[in-house]
Amino acid sequence: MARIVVVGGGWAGCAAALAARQAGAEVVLLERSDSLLGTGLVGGIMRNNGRHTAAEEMIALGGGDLFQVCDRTARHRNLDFPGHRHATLYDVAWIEGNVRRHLLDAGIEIWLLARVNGLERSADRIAQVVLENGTAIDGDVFVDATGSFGPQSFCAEFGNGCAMCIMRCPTFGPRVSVAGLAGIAEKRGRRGGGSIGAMSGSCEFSKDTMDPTLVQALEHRGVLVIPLDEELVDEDKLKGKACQQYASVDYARNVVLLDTGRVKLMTSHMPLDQLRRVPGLANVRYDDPYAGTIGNSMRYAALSPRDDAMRVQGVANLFCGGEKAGLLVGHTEAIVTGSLAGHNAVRHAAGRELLQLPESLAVGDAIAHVRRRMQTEAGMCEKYTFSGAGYFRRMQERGLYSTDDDAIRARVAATGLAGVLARPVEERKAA
Amino acid sequence: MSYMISMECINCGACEYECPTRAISPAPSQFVIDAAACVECDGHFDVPRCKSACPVGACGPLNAHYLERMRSIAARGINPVVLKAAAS
Repeated sequence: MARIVVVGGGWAGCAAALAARQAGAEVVLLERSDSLLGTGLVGGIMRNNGRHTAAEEMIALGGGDLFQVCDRTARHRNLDFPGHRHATLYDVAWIEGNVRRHLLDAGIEIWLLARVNGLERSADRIAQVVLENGTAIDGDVFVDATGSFGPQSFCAEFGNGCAMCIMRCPTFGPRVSVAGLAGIAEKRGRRGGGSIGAMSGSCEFSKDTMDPTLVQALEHRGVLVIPLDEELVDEDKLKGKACQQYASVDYARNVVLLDTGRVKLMTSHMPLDQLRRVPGLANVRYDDPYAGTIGNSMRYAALSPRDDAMRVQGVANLFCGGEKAGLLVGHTEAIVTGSLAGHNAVRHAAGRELLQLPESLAVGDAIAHVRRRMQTEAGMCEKYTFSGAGYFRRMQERGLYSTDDDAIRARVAATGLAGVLARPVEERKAA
Repeated sequence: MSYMISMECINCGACEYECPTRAISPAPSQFVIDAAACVECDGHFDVPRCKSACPVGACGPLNAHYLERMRSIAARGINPVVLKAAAS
């Protein structure tokens, strides 16, 4: 049985581990912090706009477990908010435990507080990765799902400094790129105006700091849109946002709040004294990032060159998923690329041809489209997501966006790939 | 013996300028004292110059335990927690 080592336990790493396990491998998942999901711990938004299509395609492909876990912990379904339709909001308090149990039940070994900061390689292959405490971990194939966030020096140089976000770099140690350790030259994403990186697009505060009647309204409706005083509107802030799907003026002129168990504030950062001038928010405090007054985490620090099978170019046995794999924004997107990386890691170990998702599916088109766009200067300044901005337009233009689940299943069946991610990969028999 | 600079250092550089043996230099997030070059101002001043110059009280006698804690700050390099499904 092949042994797959996944580095990074965010959505992409969890998806990679699960897909590799479903494909029949022994799987070790390494996470540097004390919990899985990374930014998924402060996420919540699934199935909005084209993400519904992508989720249903993945379910039909056999790689949809994590979407179903999210659906089971949903606080709100079929929710509309500015620019977005039919979103599901999972509960950030329940999601990690549910994902963790699902992975353990599948037979995945999870190592927490296991920060990789070294590796051994020979010629074009990685032999083992080494943890900060000196433990060496062997594997046949590795998946780099270490993300593109921070660390503090990146946030200091290109953002507003460490805002004490959920990544908790000072405590658990900064993210270390596996591809980077292997000597692969990585790229940095840019934002509108050309400066490097992009700032995370939302903050959180807890409900017990908000006016109780407002909490009731939020829990009932799932979303609140509260107009801002004219003097508090700062439209310039939209340009730096990683999540361009939430960069419309609606988000600059209003406070948009979503109920993810905690309160999700759809702006990258906002001075607390300004936020407290919003009716009902007179006592709020930030929960994530703790210093949401000054900024938020910076992303797209390290993107790997990869092909459409998610293999990292320059290392034979390294695959990548999530933000590491390019300028695809979001949990749904990370689950898509992570799943394919994990599945193909097992195909590689078994000596089989790697799977590429066809461009007749939104998930296949997105992977190929983003790779092509990242070859261009302009493409490096954009972000791509099934849920909005340029890529959602492309989905609509190409007829890839659908909310008809039967039609999506039929579309996947027509590719001949239905259930492919759920089936074990058989080793190639010696001739 | 040597002096050291704690995490309270605000990167002002006053100590570097004052040090008679040029034992102080900038590091990524604060100034540091080279223990091999520092003589605690013996033969130069009654009170070490860095201690006198530092506006935030960050310069003091070398504290090996403190430096060790700074290096191993919080949860870094400890043994991982390994989770597996209970054997069935």
